[in-house]
Amino acid sequence: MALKMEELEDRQTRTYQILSQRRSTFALRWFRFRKNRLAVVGLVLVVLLVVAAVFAPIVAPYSYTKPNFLETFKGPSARHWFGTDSLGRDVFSRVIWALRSACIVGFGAEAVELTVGLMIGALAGYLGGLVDNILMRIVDIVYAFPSFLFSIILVMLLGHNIWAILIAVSATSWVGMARVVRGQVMRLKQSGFIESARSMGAGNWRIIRRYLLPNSMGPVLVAVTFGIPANMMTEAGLSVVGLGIEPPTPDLGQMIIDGQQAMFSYPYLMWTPALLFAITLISFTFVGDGMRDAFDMKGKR
Amino acid sequence: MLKYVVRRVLYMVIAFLAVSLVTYFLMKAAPGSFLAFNQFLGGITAASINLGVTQQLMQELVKEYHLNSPWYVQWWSYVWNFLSLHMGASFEYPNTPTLSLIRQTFPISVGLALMSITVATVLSIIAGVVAAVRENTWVDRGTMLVAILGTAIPAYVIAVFLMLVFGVWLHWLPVLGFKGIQYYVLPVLSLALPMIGSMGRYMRNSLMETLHSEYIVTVYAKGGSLKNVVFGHGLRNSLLPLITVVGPQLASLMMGTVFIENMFGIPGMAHLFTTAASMRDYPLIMDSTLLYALVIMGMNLIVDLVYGFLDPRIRKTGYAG
Repeated sequence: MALKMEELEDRQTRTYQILSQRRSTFALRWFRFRKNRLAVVGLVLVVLLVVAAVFAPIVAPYSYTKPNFLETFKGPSARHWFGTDSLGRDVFSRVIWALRSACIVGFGAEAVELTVGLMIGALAGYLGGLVDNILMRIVDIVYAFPSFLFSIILVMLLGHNIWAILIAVSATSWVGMARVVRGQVMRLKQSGFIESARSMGAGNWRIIRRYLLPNSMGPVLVAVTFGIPANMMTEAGLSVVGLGIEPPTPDLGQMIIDGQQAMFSYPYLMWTPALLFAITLISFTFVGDGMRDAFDMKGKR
Repeated sequence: MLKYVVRRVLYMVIAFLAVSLVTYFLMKAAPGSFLAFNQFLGGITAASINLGVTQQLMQELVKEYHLNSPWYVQWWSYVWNFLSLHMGASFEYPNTPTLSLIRQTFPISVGLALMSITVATVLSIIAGVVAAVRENTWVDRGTMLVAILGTAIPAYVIAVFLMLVFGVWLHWLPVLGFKGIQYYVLPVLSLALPMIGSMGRYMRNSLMETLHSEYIVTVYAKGGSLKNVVFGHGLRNSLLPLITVVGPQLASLMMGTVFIENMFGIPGMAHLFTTAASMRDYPLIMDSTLLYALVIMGMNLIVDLVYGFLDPRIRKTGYAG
C-alpha cells in the first residue's frame, strides 16, 4: 500500500514535470487546479448551482409567488422537497429563484468591480506619478468608507430593486480590485518584455491591452472568484437588515429572516435557505483556493 | 516614522470629510423625506399625531438643522455638531439628542465586538496549537477544514445554525433579546467563528515553522518536552505577529455586528442605524455613519501603525513589499 502511494506520487511528480516543460500554461494550471480535490468538488457544485439559477424558470417546479392556502407549512415531502412556507409557496422553487437573485448580484457586481478596478488600477500603475497619486488617494478614501453602511444609504437612494442593489454592492468594493491590478501592473512595468515592446514602437494603450492585462490575469481571476461570494454576502446581508430586494422576489437573506419568525415550529424554513447559501459560498471559496494553486500564489488572498 | 504618522492622519481627515460629504448628498438625494414619511405614517395610524405640535416641532427641526440654508451650511453643521459632540435631536425621537441615543447603543456594539475578538483569538490559538501538534493527521485536517468553512460563511449564516442547534433543538440558550450574560453567547460565537479561519491557520503555520526549526531540536536534546516547546517557544514567537492577522478583521467585525444585532434583536448601534435608514432620520444616519467611519478609520490607522512598528518596510512606502 505504502509503496503504491509512493509510486503514485512519483508518477504525479513526473507528469507535473513533463507538463511544465512541454504543455501550454493552461494545461499546467488545470493540472494544478485538479490536484486540489476540494476545488474540483467546489467547481462541480458552482457549475450545478449556476446552471440551476440560470434555468430557474425550468428547474423550479412551482411558481415562487403564487400562494396556496390549502398547503401552508407543509414539511419536506416528495411533492415539495423543501416544504412550503407560511403562504403555501414551494420553498424549493423559491430557493432556486433566490439563488438567481444572488447570482445576478454576485456576478453582475463583480463585472462592474472588474471593469472599474481594471481601468483605475491599470491607469494608476502604468502612468504612475501624479495620476497614480491622485487615483490612489481616491482609492484610499473609498477604502476608508464604512462600506456596508454606504451600501445601505445607496439602496435608500436607488430603491430596492435588484439593479439598485447591484450598484450598491459594487460601489465600494472595486477598490480592492484596483489595488490588485495596480500592484500587478507596477510589477510588470519594469520587466524586459514590456521594454522591448516599447522599443519596437508600441503605444501606451497597446502595451496595457496586449501585454500588461493578460499577464496580470492570475491574481485578478483569483480576486474575482473570491469577490463573487463576497457580493452575494452583501446582497443577502441587506435583506437580513430589512433593506434588500423587495418581496415577492425571493432572496436567500429574506428567506432566512422570514424563516426565523417561525423557527421553533418550522425550522426547515430557516435552515434550507441558509444551508444552500452556505454551500454556495463554500463552493466558491474552494474554487478560489484552487485558482490560487493554479496560478501558484500560495498564501495570497 | 513621524512623517508617516502625520501623512496617515492627514489622509484620515480628508477621508472623513469625504465620507461626510458623500453621505450628506446621498441622503439628500434619496427619495422620500422624514417629513413626508411621517405624515404618511400619521395618516395611517393617526395615533399620537397631533398635527399642531408636529408642525411646530418640524419648524424647530428645520431651524436646528438649517434645512433652509445652502447645502454647505447644512453639511458643515452636521459635521461640526458631530465633532463638538453637540449632536442635535433626531427626527424620530425629537426629545432625545442623537448623542444620548448613541451613548445608549454604542457601548453594546463595542462590547459585542470586543468579546467576539477575544473569543476568536483564544479559540484560534487553541485550534492552531492542536492542528500544529497533530500535524498532517485527521485532527489537523479536520480543524483546518472547519476553520476554512467558517471563513467562507458570513456571521449571519453561522448564526442560523447556532440558533437552531442551541436554541431550538437543545433549548440551552435564548435566541432573541438581550437581558443577561446567556444572551451574549450565541451572538458572540456567530461573530467569532468566521474569524477563526485565518487566525487559526496563521497560528498553525507559524507554530509549525517553529516546531521544525533547528533550535527546537536542541530543546529536545536538552530534555525539553513538547509542552515546553509549544508554550515556551512557539507561542511566544507567534502571538505578536498575530496582530497583523487580527487587524484587517476588525473593520469587518464592526460590520458583522450590523447583521447579528438585527437577527438577535440586540439594541445596539447597528440596529439604531438600520432603523434610522428605513425611517429617513437624517441626523441619526449622519451621526452614526460618521461615528462608524471614525471608528473603522481609527482602527485601520492603529493597525497600520502597529504594522509599521513590526515591519520597517511599510514605514517608507505605506504599503507592504
